[in-house]
Amino acid sequence: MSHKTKKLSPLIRHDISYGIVLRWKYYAAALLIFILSSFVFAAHANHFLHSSGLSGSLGTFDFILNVFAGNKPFDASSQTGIKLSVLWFGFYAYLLSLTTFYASDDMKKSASSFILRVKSKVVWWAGKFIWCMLSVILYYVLFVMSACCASAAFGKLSVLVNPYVCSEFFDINLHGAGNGEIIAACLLLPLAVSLAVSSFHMMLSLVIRPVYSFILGICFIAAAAFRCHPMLIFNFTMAERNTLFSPTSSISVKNGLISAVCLLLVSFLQGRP
Amino acid sequence: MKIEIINYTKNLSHNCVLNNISLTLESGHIYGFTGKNGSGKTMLMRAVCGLITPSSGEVRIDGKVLGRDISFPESVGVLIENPGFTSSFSGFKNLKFLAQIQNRINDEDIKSAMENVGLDPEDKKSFRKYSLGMKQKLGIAAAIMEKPKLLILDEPFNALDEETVNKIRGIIKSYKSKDHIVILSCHDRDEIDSLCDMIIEIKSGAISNIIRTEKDTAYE
Repeated sequence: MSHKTKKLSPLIRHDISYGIVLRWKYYAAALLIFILSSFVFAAHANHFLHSSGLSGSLGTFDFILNVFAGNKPFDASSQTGIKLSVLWFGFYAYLLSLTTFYASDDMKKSASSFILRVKSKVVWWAGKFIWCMLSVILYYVLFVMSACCASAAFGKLSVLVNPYVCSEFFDINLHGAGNGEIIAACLLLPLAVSLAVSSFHMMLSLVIRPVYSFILGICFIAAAAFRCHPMLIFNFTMAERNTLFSPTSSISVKNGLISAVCLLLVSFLQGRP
Repeated sequence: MKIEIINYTKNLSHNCVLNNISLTLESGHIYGFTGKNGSGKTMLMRAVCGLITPSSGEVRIDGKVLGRDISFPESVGVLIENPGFTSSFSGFKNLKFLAQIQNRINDEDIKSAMENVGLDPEDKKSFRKYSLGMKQKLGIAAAIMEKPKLLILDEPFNALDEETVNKIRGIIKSYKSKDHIVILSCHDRDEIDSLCDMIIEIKSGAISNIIRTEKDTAYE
């Protein structure tokens, strides 16, 4: 193990202890919100299936799509305005609030002590970067766990999506998409984008005031809700806009993954204090 | 050890916080920085540590340029501004986390450092419940526990009772050996006069005066 790798592991342990374990209340609150939203969705969806006399039960990905379906882009010609998906918006806003402020907060407190001991700002930043990845993954694990538990309780624990629920609640036509494609578009792609955006805004918080970085992130989320464009990266987190379910769209899994990887690299390379 | 600060200038947001500073610091001496709040004492300490990079000029440690040949001094212990620790951990646990990075000392060394500054290593009280004086003591313990060759203490006597001040004085004096350099800042002129071999007065980011005191011997 190289010299710098050996010094990275105590940093990561510190960041996991301080940035995740000691902040367990924030993750618990997220889990509670996921569970509550799943209960509400399950009640509505099962009522719809029952009252419509439709067969089938809710699958795990129905609960996942409840958050990641997103909404249609703003159409100026229609009179209806925009129906913003509160769950989708709230999911990413809360994630940004968990990750944006940590590195800048650490910079003001104990960073000097650690940097002088690891003798490298890059290693310090690498520790923060890895912490960010772990935080985002934990957030998604909690979300998927709540979806699994909800589907086990109110439907069926499976990767299948109920096409009637999809059509009614998410305005998504599955077009015969396979399970692998659905997992890629509806879970892996949002995860990749979340990893990229969280690390970007954490990096940005070291350059500008952290609260401005957070507000900028909220603005990007809102802008993506209004306009469907691959430059607004949060579009890749909305299943409704994916080419898999909306063939005329330019929001594809491949483009999304490329954008996410590029943003991740930029964030890491630019983040060294 | 020899530290050479050569024409060091640092600009921040169009303000010149360090202005063309040149200074040589050698082992076996205790150096004191004095000056008003905002004069640049802490910035100069950060420059010597390598925590900031110069707008122009350089810092050399034993001939190696900071930021080019080396990133940071090889052996340095620092107390600068408010020491930041994990608020939910005890003092000992906080120091242990720091010690694990370089892995040069064991639990006994950590406990010894805490006892030297007047803290109880067995105290399970979390850092958030520490008084201001206890927090300061823990910061000093963190700076000295690995027995660094370069010790930098910014206002170490803040919030300390007289008994602890005497202990810290003793620790600083014990660092005066041929292998060590101590840099400290303090608003108490009597304190600086009694401890330091050389007093550097800083005004508006520049050295305004250097006073050599009677204790300027290479090492005792």
